[in-house]
Amino acid sequence: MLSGVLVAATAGIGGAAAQDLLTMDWPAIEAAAKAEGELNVYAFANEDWLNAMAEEFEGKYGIPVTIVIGDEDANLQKALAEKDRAEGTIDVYWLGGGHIIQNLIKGDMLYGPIAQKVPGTDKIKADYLMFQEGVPINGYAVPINDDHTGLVYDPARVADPPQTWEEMVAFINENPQQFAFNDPSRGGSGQGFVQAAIVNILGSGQDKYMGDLDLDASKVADWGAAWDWFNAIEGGVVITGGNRDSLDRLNQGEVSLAAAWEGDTIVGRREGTLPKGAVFYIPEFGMPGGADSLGILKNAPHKAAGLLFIAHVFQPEQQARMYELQGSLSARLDVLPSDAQVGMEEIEQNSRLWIAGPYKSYFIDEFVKQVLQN
Amino acid sequence: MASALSIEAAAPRRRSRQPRPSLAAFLSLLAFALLVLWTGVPLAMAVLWSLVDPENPWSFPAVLPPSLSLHSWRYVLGSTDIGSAVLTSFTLAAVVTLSSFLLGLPTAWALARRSFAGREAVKVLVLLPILMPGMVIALFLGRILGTLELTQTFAGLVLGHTLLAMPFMIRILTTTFEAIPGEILDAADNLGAGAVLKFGAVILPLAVPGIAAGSIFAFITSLEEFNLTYVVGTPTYQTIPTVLFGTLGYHFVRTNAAVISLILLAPSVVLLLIAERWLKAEYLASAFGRL
Repeated sequence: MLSGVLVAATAGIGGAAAQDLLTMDWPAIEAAAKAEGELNVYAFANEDWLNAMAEEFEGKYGIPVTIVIGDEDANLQKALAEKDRAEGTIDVYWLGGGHIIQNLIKGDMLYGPIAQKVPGTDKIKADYLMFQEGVPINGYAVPINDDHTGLVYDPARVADPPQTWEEMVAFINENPQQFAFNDPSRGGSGQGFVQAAIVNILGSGQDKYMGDLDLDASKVADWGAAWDWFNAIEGGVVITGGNRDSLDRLNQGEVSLAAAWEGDTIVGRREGTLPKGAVFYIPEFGMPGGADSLGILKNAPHKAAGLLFIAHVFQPEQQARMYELQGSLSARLDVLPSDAQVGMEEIEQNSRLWIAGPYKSYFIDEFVKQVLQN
Repeated sequence: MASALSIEAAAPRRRSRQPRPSLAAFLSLLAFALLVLWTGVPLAMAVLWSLVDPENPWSFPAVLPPSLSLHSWRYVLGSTDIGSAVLTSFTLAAVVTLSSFLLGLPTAWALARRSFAGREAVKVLVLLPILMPGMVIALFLGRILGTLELTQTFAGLVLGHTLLAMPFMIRILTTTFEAIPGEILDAADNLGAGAVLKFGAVILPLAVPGIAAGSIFAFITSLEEFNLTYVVGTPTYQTIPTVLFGTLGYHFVRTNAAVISLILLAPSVVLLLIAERWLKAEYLASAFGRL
């Protein structure tokens, strides 16, 4: 059923992209990859895991991998700058924010569809295969991790952390300057909280925002209520400069509750920049999470090596190492570490998808205009 | 006689406005203490964060790390390309400084000492590269260098960085050349000095502070450039800013960031000491003041 949906959905994308690689068997792809001889991977985070994977991949296939970690927008600008060249320099592209995918899909810049070619993608949540941050990826990228936004607290200072939206509002009102979230233009955990606030304040769910590649103004006409709420509580919360800034303030005792990425919390505890007892959870009022994905650009000079690399890092053992090294859960449902801080049940009940890229970009811009600059 | 008297009469008044030695010493000490706090505290914090033991977090209410470890130093030195990036960055910056000097020198001389129509407009136009957003320049220049098949080459990076460094070099050299008194050049002419001798024996010595100031600006411009290097140079060439993003970017880890900051401090301090030998504060003030 799912594959049928995917085939139908991908019919209009990709056009005359080179299909020969996708019809080859894996030994032939491996031979082609070795003939290409090298691989360039561009990402904006997760360098520990990617470096480990690069070393492992080179050891197994003899193909050297260069990992370049850059700003998400810088990666996009580089891809756009090289778009019209027959051969660019980016092979595998780590796709993060919705606006990135939106640009690549709209620009017909991704090679594929590759998802069905990679062994094990049937173990991914159906939603993740079809949408990333609300933008249809239609098999042109392989979801690679499953990171969630949520709340972090120090149990020594917070006995009863908020679960429902009413409890969240009460916590903010009763504990002035004790809750931190970052400016949504400076990191995803703040975006997660702002999205949760919009959805909970408006109370009309988030399904209507999914799948749009362009903003429908009628769907954001009532968002003023959310900005009013943020303006009312602005003096009672701490708006920080980034994901890690929120965690730093929690670590230094300035606040006792903060919005955060699950992976950042794990890395913080591991590196000694968060109390060992700090607890991450996804509140019942719902905060978004989801997969980043790996894609191959249409003008990638080493497509076979790229496909082989994606297939390699998507296998269970490599996916398990992602949690170990980066604190990110796998996008595969069959790879869940025994020591995961958030159980699958909690994820299924409380985690939400990101709303579509155009709406996410809109609320980031509007938050800056309506709240920070107000 | 009258003027001598007036000077004598004025002298005590001037002395009375001088701060008393004890107050001056106190203010100097206070300024020194503030300077030490201003630079020393962040440095000490960076050292402490670089030595945090992952097993014993430095968390509230601990004032100092409970225990120290070299974990972050081992991680950074073992898992990043910071060594080769430092080498690439400093080599590139040195070549860019030289090329922007060689290209900027005649331009600056013409702008300072020659009269031609549109000279003032040209002075503004040469500043354009520093007025435009970095990524916009990187995208357009990336296209041009791509057409010339100069992307992913050291020459392409030198060319691009030189374009960004030249406005500083040209502007500072122009003000330097403008400040050279015409009488000195006339005297050299009258004494029979040829163009080469006049340049080597008169102009160059007088322009050294300006050349040094322009060179430092050019060097630092190249050293800090991210957008152009990223679009044109990576993945073949990685410099300090492109490597830094992996450690200090989206998911920066404070302990590792502290290590990187301390590593990068070393060449900067060396550069500062070299600059100190060549520059006097008044020359820099002169260059800045007329920039």
